[in-house]
Amino acid sequence: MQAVESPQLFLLGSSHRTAPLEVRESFALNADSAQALYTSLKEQAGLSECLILNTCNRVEIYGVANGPESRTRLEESLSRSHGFDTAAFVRHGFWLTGEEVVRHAFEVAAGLDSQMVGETEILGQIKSSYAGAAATASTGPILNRLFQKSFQAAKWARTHTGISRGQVSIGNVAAELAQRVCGELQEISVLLVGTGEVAEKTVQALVSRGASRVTVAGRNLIKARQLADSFQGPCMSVADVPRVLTFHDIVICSTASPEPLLRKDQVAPALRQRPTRPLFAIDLALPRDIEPAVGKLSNVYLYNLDDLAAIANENLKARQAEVEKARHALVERATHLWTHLCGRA
Amino acid sequence: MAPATHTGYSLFWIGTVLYALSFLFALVSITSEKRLIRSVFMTLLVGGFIFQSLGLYFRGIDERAFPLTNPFEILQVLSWSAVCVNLILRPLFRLNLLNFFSAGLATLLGALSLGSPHWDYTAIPTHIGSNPWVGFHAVLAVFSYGVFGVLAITSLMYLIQNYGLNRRKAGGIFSLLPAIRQLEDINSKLIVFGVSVLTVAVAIGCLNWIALPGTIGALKLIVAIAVWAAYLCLLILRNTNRLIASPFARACVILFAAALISLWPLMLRTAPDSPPTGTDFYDDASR
Repeated sequence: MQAVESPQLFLLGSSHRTAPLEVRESFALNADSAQALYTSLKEQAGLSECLILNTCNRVEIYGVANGPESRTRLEESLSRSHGFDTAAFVRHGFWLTGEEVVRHAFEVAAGLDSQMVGETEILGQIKSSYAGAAATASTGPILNRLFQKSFQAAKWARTHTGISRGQVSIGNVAAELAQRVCGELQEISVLLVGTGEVAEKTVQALVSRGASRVTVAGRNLIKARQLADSFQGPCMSVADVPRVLTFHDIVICSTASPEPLLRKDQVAPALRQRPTRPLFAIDLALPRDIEPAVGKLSNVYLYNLDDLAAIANENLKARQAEVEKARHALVERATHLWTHLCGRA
Repeated sequence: MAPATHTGYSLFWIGTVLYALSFLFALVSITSEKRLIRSVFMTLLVGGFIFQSLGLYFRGIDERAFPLTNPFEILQVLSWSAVCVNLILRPLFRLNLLNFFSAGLATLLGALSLGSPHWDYTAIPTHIGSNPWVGFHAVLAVFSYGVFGVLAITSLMYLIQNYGLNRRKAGGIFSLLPAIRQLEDINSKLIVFGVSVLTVAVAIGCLNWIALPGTIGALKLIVAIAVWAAYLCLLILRNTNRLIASPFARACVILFAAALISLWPLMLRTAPDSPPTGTDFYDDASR
């Protein structure tokens, strides 16, 4: 679309695709530095609209400039911004203009450009960035239309393709399985044995889906207490776990114990007290905390780390197969929008 | 018992075709992992139910009796009651895919009855008006079979979900099925409901039999009591926690299949084909 040279839509950015983690760390903007950058960009002559998308995986500056030397002026402006390494940003970044920007924005909003393909968090982050930029009148007719259309495109892609189908994180896979075993999570009791990070995230995933009764058991009672407080639940010693097992529907184990904490002869009597209620047991520990024979008991569904990872990988593969389908559709939408923007210009 | 074209045959055909279409529509949506357009699915299912209800209504008007006079009608009423129970239960318990499986069962029973035209023979109708208890017994008995049909469906759903969880299967139909706990809960309620209804039906049937001994064949009586006793045993075993989870679900599916097969001896006439007089009516009604 050479016909449209003024105003020019552009994007200068750096993401997980172009910069490793240690480099991206140096680009991360806090609220103050982002605001300072906005001010700097607005003061730059010829930049009529701008929006900064700042997440842990990307820093992207969308802009509309009226003059031909927008890139040079933008880089100068970035250099002047406090603490921003422009050279590294340009070296580990990318520059897009025109229709490519529209395509990129659509793909980012739909989660196609995310590290975890199809994740939905990015859409919320873009909406938040857009709301912030719009509130300070940093956006104008072109960026407003671009981002509103990108939200629609993201919704379309999620609805009509399988890019978001299936969970791809251990915690969410476990939460989805928990719902298949227990149904609504509001009334179920979760017992977390150990204070490992993966187990904590798994409980967080359950809590985000409605679980509210969480008990934490740990060998270190201070740590267990701290974690239990974060879930507003009680804590106890690991030694008490077999005794209270009967009162819980989901048990998540993640300790560093060299020996299994839950053996078949301990779990079987607990199940007899609740014969019709299934038990979902998640063993995230290595070496395992739950004896494999426990999984043979009736009404027990035992999953270990490998089982959960296998499902997560399967879901990820399924998502990736849908990416091309979504990308193709988004390109068509981007071309349509770009034609429309050019017509307006 | 010569085959004959009976009232409402085309309505039963339309009903079965609509059930089949609703089942296939949902099946395609599930297998292609596309979102099920619920309004289309429900229109087809409810449409099938309406046409089947009309078929049964007109046949009842025509025969001046409850349409339970031959195997064709019994299968149609059984299919109708299963869908009816399902349509009542689905909103109460919010069980995903219950309608889908019910549509499958209705299609199967409908196809089975329509595929055997000789089953729709002309038989001596039950004049309910002569003894309302006999008709009530027949209606309750078939309705209880409808409940057991839904129980078999929820048990099958349980077994599929259980299989998926044990084999580490995710996505597809497994993510759409209700939870194990939910299915266990509904199964426990359905067995109580079904056995209660069948017990009342058997009790009424027994009272009729005592009042008019010899009007019901021994095989028919034994099979009827055996089906009731089997479901009662299942209920007792379930409530005493001796048969729960997968074994209970398997037993429910097997027992329903056996109950369907048992319809054959239950449909056997013990009275002659001659115009009914006196006690003949009672025997027909108890089929």
